[in-house]
Amino acid sequence: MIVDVNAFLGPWPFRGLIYSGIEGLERLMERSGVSHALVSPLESLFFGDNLAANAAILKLAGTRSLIPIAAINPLLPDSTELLGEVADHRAIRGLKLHPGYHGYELGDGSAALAFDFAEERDIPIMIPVRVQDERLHHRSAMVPPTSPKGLAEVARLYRRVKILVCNARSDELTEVLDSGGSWGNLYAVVSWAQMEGFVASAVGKYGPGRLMWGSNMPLQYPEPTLEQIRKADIGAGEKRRILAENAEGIFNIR
Amino acid sequence: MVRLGHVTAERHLGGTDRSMRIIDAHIHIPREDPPAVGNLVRAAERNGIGTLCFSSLGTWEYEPSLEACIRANGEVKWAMDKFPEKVVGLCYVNPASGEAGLREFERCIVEYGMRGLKLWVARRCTDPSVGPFIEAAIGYGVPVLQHAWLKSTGNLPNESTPQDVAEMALRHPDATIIMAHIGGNWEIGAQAVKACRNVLVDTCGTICDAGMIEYAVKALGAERVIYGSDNCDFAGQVAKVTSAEIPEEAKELILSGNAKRVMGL
Repeated sequence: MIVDVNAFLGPWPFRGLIYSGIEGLERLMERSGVSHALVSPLESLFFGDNLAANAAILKLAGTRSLIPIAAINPLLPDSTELLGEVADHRAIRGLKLHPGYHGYELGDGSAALAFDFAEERDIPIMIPVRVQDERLHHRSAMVPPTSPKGLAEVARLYRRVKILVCNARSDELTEVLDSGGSWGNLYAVVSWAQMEGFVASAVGKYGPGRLMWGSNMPLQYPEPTLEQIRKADIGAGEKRRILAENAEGIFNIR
Repeated sequence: MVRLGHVTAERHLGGTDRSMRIIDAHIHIPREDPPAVGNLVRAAERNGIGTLCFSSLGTWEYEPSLEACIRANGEVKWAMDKFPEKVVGLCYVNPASGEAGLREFERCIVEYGMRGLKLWVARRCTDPSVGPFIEAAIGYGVPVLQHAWLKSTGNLPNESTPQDVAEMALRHPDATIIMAHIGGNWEIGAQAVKACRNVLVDTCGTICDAGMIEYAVKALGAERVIYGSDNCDFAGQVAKVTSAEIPEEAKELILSGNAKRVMGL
C-alpha cells in the first residue's frame, strides 16, 4: 500500500494538465503503484464559494482509492456551512488550508474555526506551503508561501490537531520541525524537498514517524518524489512508514 | 538492476550491460564542503549515475574575483583526481575578468582536462565581456553551460533569461550552449531557444511539473534535452525523465547520449 497525502482534483488555470479529473489521477496512481490518494479541490484556491469549490470532493464518497479532503477558505461567509457538510460526510478525512491563496496568516486567528473543528472531530489539517514554485507564478497571481514560523505557531496553539506540512522545501521542513516538532503534532510531507539525502537525514533527526509522502499530482507526476523515498538510504520498515503506515494511522485508512 | 520509478534504468538504457551509464551534466561541488563530493558520488552510484559533470561556484558570490574562480576550479580538479572514473570537470569564470579569465579557462582545459565552461550570474550572457569566452569554448570544442532563469519574482541583476541565451546563441552559431533549468519557466524557456539549433536545455533546478519534459522534447527534440541534477535528489531528478511520457530512445538520449555527444565523453 502507498498513500499519497497531498493530491488535488480539478483544473489548473495557468496551463493544461496531461492528467486531470478522477480518471487522470487514477491513471497516475496505477502507473506509479499508489493505492490511495487524499485529494482536495484545486478550485478552492480561486473560488469565492466554499461549497462550489468542494462540490466534486463532496461527491467522492464512493471512490475507494480517492479519499476526499475538504479545502476551506475560512474568510468566506459559507465556511460554517462547509464545515457542516464535512461533519455529515463520513468519507472526508481532513481539511486543507491555503493561507497564501486565501490572504491570511496562520497566526492571525483567521483559521480558528477550522482548527477548532479539526480538534473537536479529531481530523488532521493539511497545509501546502505553496502549490506552484513562486518563481513560475503568473504575474497576475503572485502568491506568497506560508511561513515556517506560522506553521510552528499553530502547532503550538493547537496541540491536539495533527498538522501536515506539504510542498515545503527541505530547508523549510527542517525549520518547521526544528521549531515546532517538539509539540508532537507536526508532520513533514515529502512532496517538494529536493535536497539530496534529505529523507535519510530527516529520518535520522526526527524519526520515521514524522514523515509522509505526497505527490502534488496532477500538477506534478508522483514518481519523482516517490523515488526519493524508495531510493533513500533508510530501512525498508522506515520506507513503509513514510509511504503508508503513518498515513494509514492518522487518516484511519484500511 | 537499478529501479527508477515505474520503470528501470536498465530498461531505459537498453539492458543490464548498459546500466550505470546515466550522465549528470549539471552538478556543483558542495558549497563550503568540497569533500562532500564523495557522498554525492556514492549517492549517484546508488541511482545509476555513472558520470558527474562538476563545476564549482566557490562561495557562490554573484561576482567572484579571478582568485575565487581559480580556487573553485581547484576544487573541481581535486574531485577529478579523487574520482577519475566518475568526475568530469567544467571551468567556472567571471567573464569580467577578461584576459586573465581567458587564461584560467585555457589552463582548466589544457592543464586540468576539463570539458566545458560554466557561466552563472556574474554577467548577463549578452554582455560584450562574455563573447570572447564563448569563442574560446568554440575553439576548444567544449560546450558552455549557461545559467538562465525567467523568474516572475524578479531576476538577479545580471541573471540571464532564456531570451538572452537565444541572443547569445545567434551571435555564436558555432557554440554548443546548454541552457540550464530549461530557463526556469520551462514553457517560455523552450520557446525562446526553439529556433537556436546550437542550444540544448538541461532538466534540473525546478520541481518537476507534470509535462515539463514532454514539452521540452516536443519543442526542441530529444537530442536537445540533457539530464542534470543541480545537486537535487538524484532519484527524483532521474525520475523526472523516466516518468515522462516520451519514447525510450528519447530517455536514453536525455540521460546519457546527449551528454556523451556534447561533452565528448
